[in-house]
Amino acid sequence: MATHKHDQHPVKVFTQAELKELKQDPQLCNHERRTFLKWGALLTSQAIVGGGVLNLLTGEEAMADDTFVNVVSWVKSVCGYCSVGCGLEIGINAAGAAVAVRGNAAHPTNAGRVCVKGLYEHKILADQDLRVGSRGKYPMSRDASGNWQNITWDEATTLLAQKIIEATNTAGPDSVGIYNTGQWTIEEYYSMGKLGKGAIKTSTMDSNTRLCMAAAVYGYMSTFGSDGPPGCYDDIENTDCFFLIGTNPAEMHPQVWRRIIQARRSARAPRMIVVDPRRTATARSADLHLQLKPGTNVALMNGILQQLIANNWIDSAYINAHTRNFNALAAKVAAYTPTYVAGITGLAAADIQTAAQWIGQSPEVWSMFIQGVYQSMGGTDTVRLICAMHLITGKIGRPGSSPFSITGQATAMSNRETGGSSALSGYRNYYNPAHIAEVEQLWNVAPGTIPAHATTVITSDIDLQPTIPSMVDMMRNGTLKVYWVACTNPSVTLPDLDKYHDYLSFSNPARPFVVVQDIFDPMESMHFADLFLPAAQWGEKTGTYTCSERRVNLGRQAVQPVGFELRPNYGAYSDLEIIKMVSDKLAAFDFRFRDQAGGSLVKSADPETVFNEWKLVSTGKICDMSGMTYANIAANSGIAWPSTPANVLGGKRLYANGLFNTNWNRAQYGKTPTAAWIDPDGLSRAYLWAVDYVAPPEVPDASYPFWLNTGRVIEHFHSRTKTKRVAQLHEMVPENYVEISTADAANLGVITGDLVKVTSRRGEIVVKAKVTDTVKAGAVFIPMHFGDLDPIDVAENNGRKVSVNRLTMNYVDKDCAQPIYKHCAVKLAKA
Amino acid sequence: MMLSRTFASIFKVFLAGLLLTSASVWAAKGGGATTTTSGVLPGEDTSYAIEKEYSCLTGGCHETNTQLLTDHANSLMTHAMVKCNACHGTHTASQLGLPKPNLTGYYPGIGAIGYVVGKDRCLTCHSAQLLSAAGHRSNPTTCTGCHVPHMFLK
Repeated sequence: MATHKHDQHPVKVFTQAELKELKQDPQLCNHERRTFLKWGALLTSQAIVGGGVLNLLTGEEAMADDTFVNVVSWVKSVCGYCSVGCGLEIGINAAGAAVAVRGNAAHPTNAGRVCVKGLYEHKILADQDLRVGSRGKYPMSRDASGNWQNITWDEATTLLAQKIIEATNTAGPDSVGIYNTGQWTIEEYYSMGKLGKGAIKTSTMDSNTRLCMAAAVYGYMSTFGSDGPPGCYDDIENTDCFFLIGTNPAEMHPQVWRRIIQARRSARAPRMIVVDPRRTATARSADLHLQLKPGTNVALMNGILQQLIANNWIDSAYINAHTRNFNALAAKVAAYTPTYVAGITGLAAADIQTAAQWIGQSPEVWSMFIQGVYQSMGGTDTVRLICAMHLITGKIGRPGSSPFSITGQATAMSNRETGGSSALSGYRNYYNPAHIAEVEQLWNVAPGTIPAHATTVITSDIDLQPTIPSMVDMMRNGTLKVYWVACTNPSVTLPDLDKYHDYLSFSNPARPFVVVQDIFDPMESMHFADLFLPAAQWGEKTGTYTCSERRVNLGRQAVQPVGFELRPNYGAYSDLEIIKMVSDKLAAFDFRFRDQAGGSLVKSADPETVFNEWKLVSTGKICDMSGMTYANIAANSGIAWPSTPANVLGGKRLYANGLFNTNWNRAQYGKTPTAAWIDPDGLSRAYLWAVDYVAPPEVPDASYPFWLNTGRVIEHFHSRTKTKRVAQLHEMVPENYVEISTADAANLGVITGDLVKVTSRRGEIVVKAKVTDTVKAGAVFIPMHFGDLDPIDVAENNGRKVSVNRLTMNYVDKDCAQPIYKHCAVKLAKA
Repeated sequence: MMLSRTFASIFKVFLAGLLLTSASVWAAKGGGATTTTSGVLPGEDTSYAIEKEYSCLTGGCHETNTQLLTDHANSLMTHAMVKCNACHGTHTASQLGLPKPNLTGYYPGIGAIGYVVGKDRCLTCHSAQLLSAAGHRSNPTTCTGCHVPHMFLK
């Protein structure tokens, strides 16, 4: 039985004898069966002392988790979970440990509020606060028997450098795959991009942001010419109509939801339209909930566009001055009448008309969207059509009106900006030779160093989509030689997991050398690793984070990285330090990995020094950060880009002047200057896409009669790498489950708590039923957070497979290669 | 062990008085009174949050506490998806290995006798209101003296 130390106040309420009694009679916890006498016996040894409970037998005081009594200083930082970018303060005790978190009341994003994940964020730092597992402190490699053995950092980085050099020699630089994250700092992404593209010269770089918001990036790039959410959070208080499609901010972005609630209570009283197949918390408070069939977003958006045009709720002057291809769009959507769209989406035609009317007639409209759009069929096209909706109504670039993509991770935006994985640094175009030459000059590498083509994405199944290669496909065919996974957990989060696990199995002779760089030991991806590199995390390092509204915040180090006392041979290092170590080792071993001055590509492991270098790379570009310094970022509680020395705070909204980034010299994407969205006249006009609805590749049938939807819960983050270790979060949602409608549950003879076998054409899991009318009849929902390889999960699930990605389909968006996690077909049976 | 049992016997007597006293204090503070006002407006739906609090409100522990359910269902904080564990989360369940933690120190028919959510928990999110001269008139030792627990109306 673990005892969690809480500084000077051990959190231990019951004596061992009492614990034994409780174990023998767990029903003590059930109020229905509990008797006064049982509790009387239990509580005999306790007395109230202030806000805690004193165990009179042991003299130990049970301290509540809510006290700041031990805090001696507060360190201003920013949250490391989702992309909202809430300002936090980390409470430090006299011993230098983090013991509390509170909201930063001065931060404009959250005004002091935090969600439940942020509230307990300090509990992911130190071993004594973890519910299960421990922090990784030792680099490790496999011995001859396959068991982990501790090795020094010098040995670990030497091994990795040798493997990269060996792969480069035998199979070329693209055989080195790097798969990272949306949770590093700007400085870390920038350095990894430099190492990968400038030193290793691989184009096999991607990140978990591919699973998260690639559709937004490609939708923006092919409409506006570049990535970058145009709006900001202040639009929430300045709009007349919220159009929330594929998003559930009440659960996923709680501080955005709080602002929406407050705005809805204002005299302006904006309307709220919610598009979601589930009756989420957000949907239940909507004025209009469009509970459409999965995978039909494109049809709905075409239907709304048809109504806007048919009713002349458009801004012709804006269309003529600032867009192209309107006539094609109008012709395309003309067939998408409310009746036709109702037949595809399952919605009432009148509701589609109402939605269009509110959007068309509201002076300002703010759209927010995330995975329900990105991870559904036609993700990129849906983003394009949302943007088109704003463009043809002229509702963009002014307070209260914007398409606003929100991301899932704290710094996913930063990866996009700096080119930490698939992108080219500074929103440059991989296909524009002039852009590549700029970066090569800035990095002082020879012309031709950076691969002159785009990245290889993380996942696809060439049996389903033969024209989309990927790292997973390279694993299958044996051409991926090194697979460096950093700050992400693909063994839980990739689709069609059974196949992925097979490709990485140690019984597969063609498997790559797998490196996992992470903060906990164990975690699921370590299961397949040959080398483990322990990393420092949020609160243990300083760096900058770009949140969804393009605001760059400063996250400060509050405590020493775990295992600091074991340095230099052991202990966790920041990802920036690890990247530099590998870069230095490669440069030392082989001249091909050096810059033209003969040095390592990564020049510094000091975050502020790296930020200053990155600023130069961003100067004059779309995501210009040249006006920022650590000091003025801190002083302003974050600064939105673009920010120049002449206009430091000028980045609140993009496209206020109606000029977009579609000219070839500025565009972030386009294989040639003849790409559809590149303005041939150089007038910086946005491009309006005209696209048809395409049905999903898999729909329910007689064999697999249910739609499966996947998503998140408020307590957990991604694969629970962090949140399953926080007791206060775990206890609320301790295991995976399947939401089943009341009608379907009755037909199956299932009640809440029953085990249910859920099977798709790809795999099978067994999870508990949760009967609810959050889902419609014929549809089920399973959270995406739960893995089943970590030994603690195996034990807690009694060996059951519970990970929903054993069921999902490895079918990716045709434009951006984001998997469609949001819908596939399954069957259910009582287990 | 013997010493422990002796202590336990002594404090059984102590406990009876303690529980009765606690219940009286709780009742005197208004515990159990039916609240007629609401922190949520028409159209603001808290049912999802409550449904998702199955560990606490629909899982066999607190369904019968109508006062708690009513107040919580009418709270703006519930509408904002602030659930039980935000304020009441402790290590109790993980220590006991039980699926339904008692995080509150509240016992039906008796009242809260142990863990009481402290002011610092409120300040985790609401320091601006307290520290702002325009936001709050005083700096009291507790928040729940004025703001009804689980609904937080003043």
